[in-house]
Amino acid sequence: MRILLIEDDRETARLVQETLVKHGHDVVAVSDGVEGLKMAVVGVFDVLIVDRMLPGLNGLDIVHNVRNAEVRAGIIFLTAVGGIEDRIEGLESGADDYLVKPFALGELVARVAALGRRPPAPMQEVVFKIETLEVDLVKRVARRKGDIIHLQPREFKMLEILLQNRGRVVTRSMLLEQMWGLELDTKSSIIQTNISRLRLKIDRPGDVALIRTVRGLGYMIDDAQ
Amino acid sequence: MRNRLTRSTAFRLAGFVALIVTLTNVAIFTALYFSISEQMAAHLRAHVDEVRKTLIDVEGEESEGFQELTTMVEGHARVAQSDEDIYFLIDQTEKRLAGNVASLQRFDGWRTIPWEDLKLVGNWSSHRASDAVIGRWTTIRGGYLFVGDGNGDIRDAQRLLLKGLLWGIGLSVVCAVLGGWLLGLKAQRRIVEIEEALDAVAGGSLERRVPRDSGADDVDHVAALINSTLDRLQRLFANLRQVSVDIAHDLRTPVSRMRQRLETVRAGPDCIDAYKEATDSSIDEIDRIAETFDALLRISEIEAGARKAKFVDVELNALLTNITDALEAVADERQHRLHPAQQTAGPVVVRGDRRLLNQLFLNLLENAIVHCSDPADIRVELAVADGHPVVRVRDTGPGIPGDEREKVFRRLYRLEKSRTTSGNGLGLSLVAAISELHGATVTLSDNSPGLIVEVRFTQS
Repeated sequence: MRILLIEDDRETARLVQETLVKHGHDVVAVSDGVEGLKMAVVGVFDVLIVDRMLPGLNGLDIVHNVRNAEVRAGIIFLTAVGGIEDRIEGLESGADDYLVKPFALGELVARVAALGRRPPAPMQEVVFKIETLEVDLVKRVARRKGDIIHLQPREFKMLEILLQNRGRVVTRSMLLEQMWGLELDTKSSIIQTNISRLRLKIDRPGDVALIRTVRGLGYMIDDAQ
Repeated sequence: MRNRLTRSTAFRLAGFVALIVTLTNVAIFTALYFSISEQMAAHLRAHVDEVRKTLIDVEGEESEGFQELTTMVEGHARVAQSDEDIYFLIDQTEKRLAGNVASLQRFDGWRTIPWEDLKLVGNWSSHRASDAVIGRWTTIRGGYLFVGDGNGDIRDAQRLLLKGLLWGIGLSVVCAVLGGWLLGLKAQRRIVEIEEALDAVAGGSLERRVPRDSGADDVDHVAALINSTLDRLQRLFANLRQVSVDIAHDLRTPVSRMRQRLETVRAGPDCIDAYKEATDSSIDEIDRIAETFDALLRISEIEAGARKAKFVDVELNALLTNITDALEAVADERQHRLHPAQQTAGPVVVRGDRRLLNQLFLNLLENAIVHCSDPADIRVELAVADGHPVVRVRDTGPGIPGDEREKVFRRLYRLEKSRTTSGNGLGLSLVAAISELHGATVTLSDNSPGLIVEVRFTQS
């Protein structure tokens, strides 16, 4: 994916750029707001990562102008710590997602990936087959090695979210948002507990473990060893 | 500073009132002046008419009657000076026959003639009460008769009225100015007090308040408003100060711990596993610090109360069902029983911020789950009491001792025995801040055994 990073803190910009490049993205980094806006409007990017506080032009104005110019790229807003108002304003100005500093680089990578995938959503798969796991989203049936797995509705929903992001990390906060609409800053064990239960039912002893934990970040379903 | 008294509102108001009173006085006295003058002129004309009638009667129908009238008029004219009456009789050829004027033009109807226009005959004193004569001509058998009377009574009354008017205006102006002066002085004293208090506050004495007055007037109302604003300001300042102290106390410890760990690894042998372990634990430490820092700032932000503008209608029934659903597995894992939220018949709606309300109830339920060490029953109840939405979270755990119930809302405060459990001591502070923002009160009570947390939305 082509990503434009507008961030004035050099060290942050360098780390973000390195990490995203490592994940196979093309990253252009600028440190000035005005320059960033020009690039965003002229260049063709899939995702924009915009810092809230910038020299020249602030992040809110950039997002606003970019949206006015009908640029369709996904936008992730980076806000300063604790600024509840900032986040709301950020989303209202047209950003698709936001991250609060300090953030884990892995979280940013996961969110960039999620954002880049948004447009082709209509063509959703209905039946998933991973290793010996078969899940039919329409009939709401899951089988492992042919045996029906009895899942509670919320467990099924969680499995569905993981499957739709197959091979990619879904972070805890993304799961919390999609499962219960909770946009909270919580280190609560809600997701961890629910995943453990799901895992107990999906990956029984002797099976290939499909639900993997990505340390400090989230979960992913995949058959790759 | 220029004379502040003349610029004070009360004083200007007094001046305005004085002007109004003066104008009102003038209007009333003018009306009186004219109606009394008119009334007295009518009296005077009636008197003149009476005299005329008497004289006409004297002339009568007989031939010597006219001669008799002439003698009578002559007699009247001689003694008329003191009464300031004018008599004048002429025959049909307009020849003067009798009277106390030398000549007088004939005219129709009533007329007011100034004394200086009259050619007086006889000894008249130069000092007169009247300045004009009101009279009319009467055509009689033998000629024409003029009878007039001085307007002295009218003038006296008018002079009296004018004097009254002047005194009235003078007195009311003096009263208004004096009253305004006193009022202005009082108001100015109050304003000076307010200014002094605000100056002191600006100078850093946040505990200073505007002295209250028992009068309960508008200035006192303003003073009350200023005081409540200052109360809030002082609370916010105290808040800020406490946050700084809290941060120093609770964040420096993990930072120094982290530093020591990194130093130790740096000084030790080049072992990649040791480095990895040190960085992992540092990342965890940093996450915890960031979380605490974030929570502290969020509490302050919520306490500052800036979010009310974004309030929307939030249905508590669905919100509570959602949260119990999210936490059920967590409770289950610790062998607690989290019952589905006990609902009301109809939807219960409060004005609020959905995100914060989610956080509020999530914190309360997580507290119950985390702090009950033995398997417990955890219930959430939604009810409406006295028209106010009430949410109760009950558990059957260890509860909180009565003397600790106030303290647990303090920032970073943790019950000693719960040090072993996770948490940063900010959960209930956040609950308190969110509740206050929503006009809700939080009370802790005994579930014997266990704890009841009640959130009562009183301003919804």
